[in-house]
Amino acid sequence: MKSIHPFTLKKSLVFIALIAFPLLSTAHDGHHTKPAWDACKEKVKHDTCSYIMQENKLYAGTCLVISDDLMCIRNQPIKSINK
Amino acid sequence: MQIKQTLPQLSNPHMKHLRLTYAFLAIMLISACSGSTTESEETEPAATDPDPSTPTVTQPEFDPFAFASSALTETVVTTSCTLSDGSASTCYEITIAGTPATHEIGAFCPRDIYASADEVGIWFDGNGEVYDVDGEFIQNLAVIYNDSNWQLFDPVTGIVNITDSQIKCEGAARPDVSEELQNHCVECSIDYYNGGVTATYIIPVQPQLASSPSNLGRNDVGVSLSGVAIAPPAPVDAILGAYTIAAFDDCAGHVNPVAGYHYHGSAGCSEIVSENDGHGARMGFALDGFGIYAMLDSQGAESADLDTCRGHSDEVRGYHYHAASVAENMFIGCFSGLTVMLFD
Ligand SMILES: [Zn+2]
Ligand SMILES: [Zn+2]
Repeated sequence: MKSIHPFTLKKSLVFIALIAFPLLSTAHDGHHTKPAWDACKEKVKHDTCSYIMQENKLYAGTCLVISDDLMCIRNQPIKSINK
Repeated sequence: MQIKQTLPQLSNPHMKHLRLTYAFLAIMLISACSGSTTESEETEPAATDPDPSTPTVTQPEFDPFAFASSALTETVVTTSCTLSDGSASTCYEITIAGTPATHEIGAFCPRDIYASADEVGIWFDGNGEVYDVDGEFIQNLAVIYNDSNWQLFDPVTGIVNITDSQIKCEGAARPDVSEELQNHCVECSIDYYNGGVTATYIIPVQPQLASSPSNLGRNDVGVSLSGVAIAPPAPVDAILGAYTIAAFDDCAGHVNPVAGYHYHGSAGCSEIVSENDGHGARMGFALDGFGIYAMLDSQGAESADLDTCRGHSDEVRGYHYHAASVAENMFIGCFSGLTVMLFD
């Protein structure tokens, strides 16, 4: 286990951030969970949204921005539906 | 000590110019599969946003003693901090070990196409389904992703292409994955990074609801009680676009060169503080100081009254969040509370 004084660590993190940042940022373009992203494609932030996964499970929530992606964030319990 | 939750102060717009600060950069870097972004703040609360003007239950302070033994590498100390509404406050400095105190790391990738589910970790199909990364999954990639370019194993020997060295692991973690590292199951040993990447988080001692929630950026969302970063969603599209699989272990964590081991889902491995009333167990804290609990209670049921951030209040825990499922590749929807903008 490493023992790094927080101050030293924070300073080094800043240093690494300035170097590594441009490289890392391009690595992570694109969305994260396609069904959740698709559900908000035609919507705006705070719109209600829903999508289906595992064939018959309904995921319902609100379009919010995470990691610069507008995606459907579920806040309702997962519901089984009859297709 | 329990303190009555206070209302957030009015936002100070001038403080927004100070976002690219020492504190922000430090916190930014400890993000997992992340680059950088400033967190844009929401301007219009949604109908089910937490309402800070509602009479509140007593909000417990952030509990620095909730962490598993050896999850933290430094004694927790307090520091002066400025919160996202511009108010001065007191925060804890939490330094995590970056290696889980409650479970082993791995396994991740299958060695060959005959590997069974109990020898491997998990991964997504790109449509939100979670699979064991077993031999069958590896053989079916072209069908699962509907793309014949997937060929992750040697058709003669059945051996799976794995990034089995530090050079390969770091090459596959780059944005421009070279052709020879495409069609690999990406696996990085924590041994390449001294057994764990320690990171310090600055978290308010007394969590407070903000006047409106704020977006989650590309930075870490919080810290687990096992001493591991709670990361933003894994960039599944970018990973699959390079014909790679960044397999998680069964705890929904994996290792990358910047963040070390980090979680992308709540899989039951850091849910170590059980609750007496059947409520889901606590697994960590969001960076606004509010607790994050398991998705399900002891009866296997989900809360039906979560706000848009996936939080709600009760008399025992005050305001807190419930993690989403692993398949959703996320934990919470937004920060309901004030986060740290500056610290000493
Ligand atoms: Zn990751
Ligand atoms: Zn709850």
